Amino acid sequence: MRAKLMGVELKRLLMNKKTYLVIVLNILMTALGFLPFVKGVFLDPYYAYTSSLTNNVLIPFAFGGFAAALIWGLYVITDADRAIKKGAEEMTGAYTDEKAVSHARVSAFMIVSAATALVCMILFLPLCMNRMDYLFTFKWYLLYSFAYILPGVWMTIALCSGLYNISRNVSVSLIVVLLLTISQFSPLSETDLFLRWNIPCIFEVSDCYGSVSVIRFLYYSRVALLFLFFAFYLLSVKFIRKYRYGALRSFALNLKKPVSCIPAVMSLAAALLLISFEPFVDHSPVVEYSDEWYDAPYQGKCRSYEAEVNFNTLLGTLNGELNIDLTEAAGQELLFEIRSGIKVRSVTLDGEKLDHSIGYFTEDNNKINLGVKKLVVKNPNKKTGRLKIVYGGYPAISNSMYRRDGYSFCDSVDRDYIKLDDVSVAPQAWGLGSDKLPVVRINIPADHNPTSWGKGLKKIKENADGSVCWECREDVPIIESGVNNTEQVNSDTAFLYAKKYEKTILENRLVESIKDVMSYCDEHYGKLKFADESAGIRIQQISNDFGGGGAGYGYVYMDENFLSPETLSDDNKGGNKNETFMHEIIHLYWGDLGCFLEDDGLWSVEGLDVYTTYRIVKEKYGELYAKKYYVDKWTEAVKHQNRNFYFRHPEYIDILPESYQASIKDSVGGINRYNRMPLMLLKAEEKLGGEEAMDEVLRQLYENGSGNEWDGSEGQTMQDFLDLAGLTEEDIKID
Amino acid sequence: MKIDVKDVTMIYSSGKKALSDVSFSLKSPEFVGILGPNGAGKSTLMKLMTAGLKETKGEILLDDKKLLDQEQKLKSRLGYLPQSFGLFDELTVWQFLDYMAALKGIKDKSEIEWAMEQTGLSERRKIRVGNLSGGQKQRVGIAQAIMGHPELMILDEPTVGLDPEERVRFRNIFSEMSSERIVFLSTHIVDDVQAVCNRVLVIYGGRILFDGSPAGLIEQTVDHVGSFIRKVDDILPKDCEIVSRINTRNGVLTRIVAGTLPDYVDRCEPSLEDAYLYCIHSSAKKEDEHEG
Repeated sequence: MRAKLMGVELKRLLMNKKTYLVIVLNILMTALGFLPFVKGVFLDPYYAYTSSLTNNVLIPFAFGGFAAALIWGLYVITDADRAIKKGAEEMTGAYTDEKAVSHARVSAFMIVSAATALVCMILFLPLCMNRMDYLFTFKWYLLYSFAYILPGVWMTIALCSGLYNISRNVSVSLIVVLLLTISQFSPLSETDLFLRWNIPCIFEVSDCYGSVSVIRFLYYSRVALLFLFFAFYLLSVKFIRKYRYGALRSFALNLKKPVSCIPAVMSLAAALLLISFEPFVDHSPVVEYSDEWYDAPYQGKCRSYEAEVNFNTLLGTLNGELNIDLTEAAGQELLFEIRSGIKVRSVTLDGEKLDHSIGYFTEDNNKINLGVKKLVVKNPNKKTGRLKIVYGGYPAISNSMYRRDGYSFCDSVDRDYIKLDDVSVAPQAWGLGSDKLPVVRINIPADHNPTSWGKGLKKIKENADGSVCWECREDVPIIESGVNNTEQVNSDTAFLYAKKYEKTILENRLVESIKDVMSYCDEHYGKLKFADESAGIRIQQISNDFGGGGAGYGYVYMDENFLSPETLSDDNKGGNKNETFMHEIIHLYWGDLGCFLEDDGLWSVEGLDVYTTYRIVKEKYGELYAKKYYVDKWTEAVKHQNRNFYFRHPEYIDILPESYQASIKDSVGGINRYNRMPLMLLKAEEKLGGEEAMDEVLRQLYENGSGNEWDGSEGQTMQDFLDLAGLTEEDIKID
Repeated sequence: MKIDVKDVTMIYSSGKKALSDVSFSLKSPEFVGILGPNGAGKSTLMKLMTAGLKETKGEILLDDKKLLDQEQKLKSRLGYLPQSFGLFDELTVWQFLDYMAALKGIKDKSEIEWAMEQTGLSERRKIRVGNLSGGQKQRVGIAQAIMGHPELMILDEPTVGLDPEERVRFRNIFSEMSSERIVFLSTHIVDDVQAVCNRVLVIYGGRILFDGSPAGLIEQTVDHVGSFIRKVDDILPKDCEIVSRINTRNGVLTRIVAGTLPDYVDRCEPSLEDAYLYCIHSSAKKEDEHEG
């Protein structure tokens, strides 16, 4: 009968013109989500450096879902109120339990809203496919759009229906819903994603690999919250008025059959269990400063430090075993850095169990925000022996990482992609000296190509289970590993990229771009500085990584966004996709040598990159081409900027509202980076007497810089350049 | 089916006493009319019998078991038309009845067809409820009540808003249906009760004043109904209730009910309306005396 009841409630809903109005509004709101300004609603503009997937799926559908939730919620409340105000309830209540009618009504609303969500997903599919081009993956589209557009609506339907059941008052219900909605913007919601019920956090997800860990967390949190809201709703039906009594008396009467409360209690228990044991985020509190950890104590020496790590790509977990041959344990305790979320299953010394505990790092030692914990192993006066730590679990992210919307949340262990950013895959001992280098072996799927912060990552064997064992020496590695294509750029250099980009890489001859850049830069500036003498360099495209890229010994990595349609179509950087990609590859050479002095400053790495791109293009396609697509464009942009009122009178910028200030400064900075500075370099070239002299200066500049952004060098400033060139700022000024 | 209302008192949370020690029984088949002025407690009694309210004192039994303990059983056997009700305007007549059929657990669609036919709604099946006239909406209400041939039909003023022809037709339908079930009908229209009910309850001030056959109610009014020609200056007899006034050439032919008729009043054959008015009148008088 309940199904029948739901059927007729559904029919009733579909006969109501208001339902269609709500459906249309739902679709329109989702469409609105595709407009650029909506990005600002969700993301702090400073961090709004998002992937194509985030821009084109997460944000529009999150906005659509949020707005739809409020619209559906309002409709649910007014519809329930209408049934009561019109007196239909007296008639319907005579034939059936009002609770059953409420269930049928809520179910009908959920079905219609789900159908609307489906319509949105189908309707906006072509748009997303078109916008995302080769980055579009149907699976990610389906999973993300669904997670953002529907569960929040369902929660709101359950909440609104529940509130009305309890209050029987439209105003009270609406006020509570609005308060709960507004509460999601509170600072408290920044630290606990479960409070973001119908405005889920927007994550910086990977276009390459979809960030399965985000999907896991997103669905986990949505399911937990749905349980919670359904529990509320199921409890609220106990407040449905009986015999015209008030809310509390009706509740007491309805509670007379405790069995009927079982679904609500079970739903609540499920929600609380899921929330309490959520494995994805490390909710370690920030503890008071203690100098206990600031200076790593000397802990002794070891003869070997070996770890083996396995991954369960289905569950997203890692399991490992660390063996250390202690030759001289200095104290009562051994201290390790271990990834948040990883549980230590056992610690033994020569087979004898040792006590251990996991605690928190303090803010002052700069570890609190990096998703790490400290493992303390009690060492019972035994100075030598084999220490064995067996560990495993779901690599959690620090709760501080997701506080800023738009920040990366890409750590993931899944079939196509393993990324464990910032923290090593094995516990890392502090102050434990060793004559031998650590050896860490990771077993990953055979089609993965890993890169790591460690040195000498080598494939060593194929395992019986089909996985491949890679070994990393010299360091306990942080790894990133994906299913990639590999192109040999030259005898020393390999370019690894996600299969998804194959089409655009081939179409735009991007491997050729790398060859062109490397051959030009090697010749004019010097060899890339990160080469491993034996293994050369791997240029590896990784997933979404806030900051763009980085380099280490034997490899450089580049953020996937370098290959996104948006980046490759950025005409600031080059005349076409091929040239834009050259610009990105040139970054491998200049790194942060140019450093960003300030947002609207005149000297930046971008300017050096654009100038170098111009030079390569000029060499390749001739002066006319380079002039047309580079010099003329720069000149035009600078002319335009010179006419700009705020550029001529920057003193007026400060009196503008902050958002305008930021926008103007950003625009000024863009022109300076991509147009004015290349023109300045061109002028310097003239002053120096030609390209050869200029190349010499740049070669010197390149040599002086470390090229490695991780070694603490501050980069080469404009003054460094001027000193090398023997010029003044006035000499190269562009009017 | 049997319903026993035993010493039921109903006091609302506002403190208003709607029913006071009301007792009566209904047994299938039976067509019972309940007569009473506005505010007498008819609707309250009906809501109690449909488990829409809970009695303050006393009990209502359904087949010798507490009605509130077997609400589901009652709901599955009930046809109820409240005095004032709202319909879902967006639905067509057929969809609304289909909706109500689902609520009543009726699977057989022919029941909907039958109810529409009985209430003359067949041709309006596709019209939205919001576009119906007041009388047509009342017919939709009746249709949902009779749909499924329920064992117990509780109809609170079902013929309000209907034209005389429709009123007669519906009371005949109810009468026909009462041959196999309990029909409990409240009305202000005494003629309806006289025409079809085999039992009448008179309720006033929350108390049952009379419970018996219409003939029995009439019987107890013999010698309390009379008429006389009243001149302009004539004073009305004390403690009488005027039933009707008809202007004639000689004066106003006035029909009254009273506990004791004056000598100048000609005795008349009482009608059910006279009997109902006399019943109410004498009860009100007793109350006045009691309060005095």
